[in-house]
Amino acid sequence: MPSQYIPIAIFTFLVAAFLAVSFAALRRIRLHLGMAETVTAQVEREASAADSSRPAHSLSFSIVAMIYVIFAVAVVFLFPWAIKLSQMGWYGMIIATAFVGILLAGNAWLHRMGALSRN
Amino acid sequence: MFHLIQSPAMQTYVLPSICAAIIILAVPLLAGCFLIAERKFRAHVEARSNDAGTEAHGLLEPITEVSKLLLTEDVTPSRADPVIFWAGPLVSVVVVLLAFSVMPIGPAFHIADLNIGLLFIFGIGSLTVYGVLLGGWASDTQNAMTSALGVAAQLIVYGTVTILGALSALLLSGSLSLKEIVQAQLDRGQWFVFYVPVGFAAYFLGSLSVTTLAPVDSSGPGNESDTAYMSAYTGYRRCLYLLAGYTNVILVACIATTVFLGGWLRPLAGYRDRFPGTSVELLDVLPAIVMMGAGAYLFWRARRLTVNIRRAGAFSVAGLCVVAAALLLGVLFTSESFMQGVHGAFWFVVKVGAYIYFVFWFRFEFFPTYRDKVSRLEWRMLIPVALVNLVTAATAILTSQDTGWPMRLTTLVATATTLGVAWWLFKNPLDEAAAVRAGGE
Repeated sequence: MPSQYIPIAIFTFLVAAFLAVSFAALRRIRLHLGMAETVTAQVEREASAADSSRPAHSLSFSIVAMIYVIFAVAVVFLFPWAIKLSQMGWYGMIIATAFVGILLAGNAWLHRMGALSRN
Repeated sequence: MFHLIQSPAMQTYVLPSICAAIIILAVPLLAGCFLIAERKFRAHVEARSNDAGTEAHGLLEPITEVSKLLLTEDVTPSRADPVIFWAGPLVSVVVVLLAFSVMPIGPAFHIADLNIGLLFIFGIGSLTVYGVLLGGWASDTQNAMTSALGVAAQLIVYGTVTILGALSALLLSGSLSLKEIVQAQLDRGQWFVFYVPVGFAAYFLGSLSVTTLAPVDSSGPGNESDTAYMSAYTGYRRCLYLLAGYTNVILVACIATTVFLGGWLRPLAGYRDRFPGTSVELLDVLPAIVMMGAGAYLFWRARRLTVNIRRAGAFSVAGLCVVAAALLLGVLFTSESFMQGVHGAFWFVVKVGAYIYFVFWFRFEFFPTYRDKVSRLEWRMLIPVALVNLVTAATAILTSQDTGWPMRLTTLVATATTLGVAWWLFKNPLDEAAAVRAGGE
C-alpha cells in the first residue's frame, strides 16, 4: 500500500473509535438514567401485515435504473481525457466530441421514446 | 523543534492524526452551528422571529434537541434485519467523514494528499447511496422502502451532474490532486469559476439535490418524503443519519471551494506587492481587516440591542472577532509557512461559509419542487448542457493554447455557446413529442 494511504487508514480508525466511544458512552448514560438498553418494538405498518415491504418492482424501474448507470459509467470514461486534455490535443478532442455526441444522441432518442417520463 | 515536524514519521503518522482528530471532533459541532444558522436565516428570509420562548437567542436549542435525540431509546423494529439496520447509518456517516480525509483546508492543514483526490471523493461519495438504501430496506416498512428508492435515484442522477460540472474544472487543472487543482488556479491567474461558469452552475444545482435538501426534498406525499427512509430509526442511529446529512452539505461546499473558488487562495492571489522593506505582502492584512470590520459592525449593532442577554452575547462575539483579527495580524510576524497555513485556512473557511450561505438563500427563496420535475429538469437540461459545456470548454482551452489568444476571451465565447444550446433545449423540449404521441393514442 502506498504510504500516502496510511493517513487515510488512521482517519478511518479514528472515525470508528469516535463512533464506538460515543455509542458506548450514550448507552451508559441511558442505563444510568434507568432506560432500557435496546428496545425491539413492533412498528406499525401502513398496509396490512400480510404484504411485504420488499415487493417486486415494475420493469420500467429497471430500465430507468439501467439508463442511469450507463450515463454514470460514461462520465467515468471522460475523466482521463479531461486530465490529459493538453497532452492529447485536437486528436483527443475529436474522439471525446464523438463520444459525447453519441451520448447526447442517446439522450435525445430516450426523450423521443418517452423512456424517461413517468407514465 | 522544526526538524522534528519535518521528520517522515511525524509527517506520515502524527500530524495527520492530529488533523483527523480535529476534523472528527469539529464536524459534529459545525453541524450544530449549521442548525442554528439555518433556523436564524430561514426566520430572517420568512420575516419572522424564531426565538420566541427560547433563552439566550435560541442558541441552546440545538443542544437541547440533540441531547433529547441521543438519549431516546434505541428502537429496533421487530421485523427489521438487525445487522443491516445498523449498517445503514454507519455507512452514511463514515463515508461522508472519510471524504474529508483528502480535503486540504489551507496549504498546511490536510490529512492526506492523494494524486487521485477528487476521484477518491466522488468514489467514496457515491457510497452514500448504500447508506440510504440499506436503511430503507432493513426497516421493512413500505414508507421507508419507497422513500429510500426515490432518494437513491436522486443521489445517483444528480451525482452524475455534479461530476460532469466538476470535470469542466479538471480540463483546466490537468490533475486530480486537490492541492494541485488549487495551485493550477494560482498559475492560471483566475479561479476556475470565471473560466467555466456553466460547469459551476451544473455543480451547484447538482449538489443541491445530492444533499437532498429543499427545494428538492420532502415535497412528495408522506411516503415519498426524503426523510421517510429513516422513519424507523430513533436515538443514536437517527442522529448519525442527520449528522451525515449536514456533514454532506459542508463537504459539498468544501469541494466547490477547492475546485471552483480557488481553495485557500485569497482574492487577487496573483498580486504579490510587499510592504516596503519587509517580506509582508500588502493583501495579507486583508483577513485582519475583514475580522476587524465584522467586530466593529457587531459593536455598532450591539449598542442598539435592548435585551441584556442579547447585548452581552453580541458584545462577546464582537470581542472574539477583534481577538481573531489580532491573531491574524500576529501570524504575519511568524514564519512564512505558518502564516500561509493560518491565512489559507481562514480564506478556505470564509469561502465555505459563503457557499453554504448561498445554498441556504437558494433553498429558502425557491419553493420546493416535486422530485419527478427535478428529475425531468436533470435529464432534459442539465446532463445535455453539462456535456456540451465540456466540449466547448475543452475547445476553448485548446484554441487558447494553439493560437495564444487569452483564455478569458475563448472561455467567454464557449460559455456563450453553451448558454445558446441551453436556451435552444429549453425552447424545444424533446420529450413533449413523446407526450403528444402518448396522449393521442
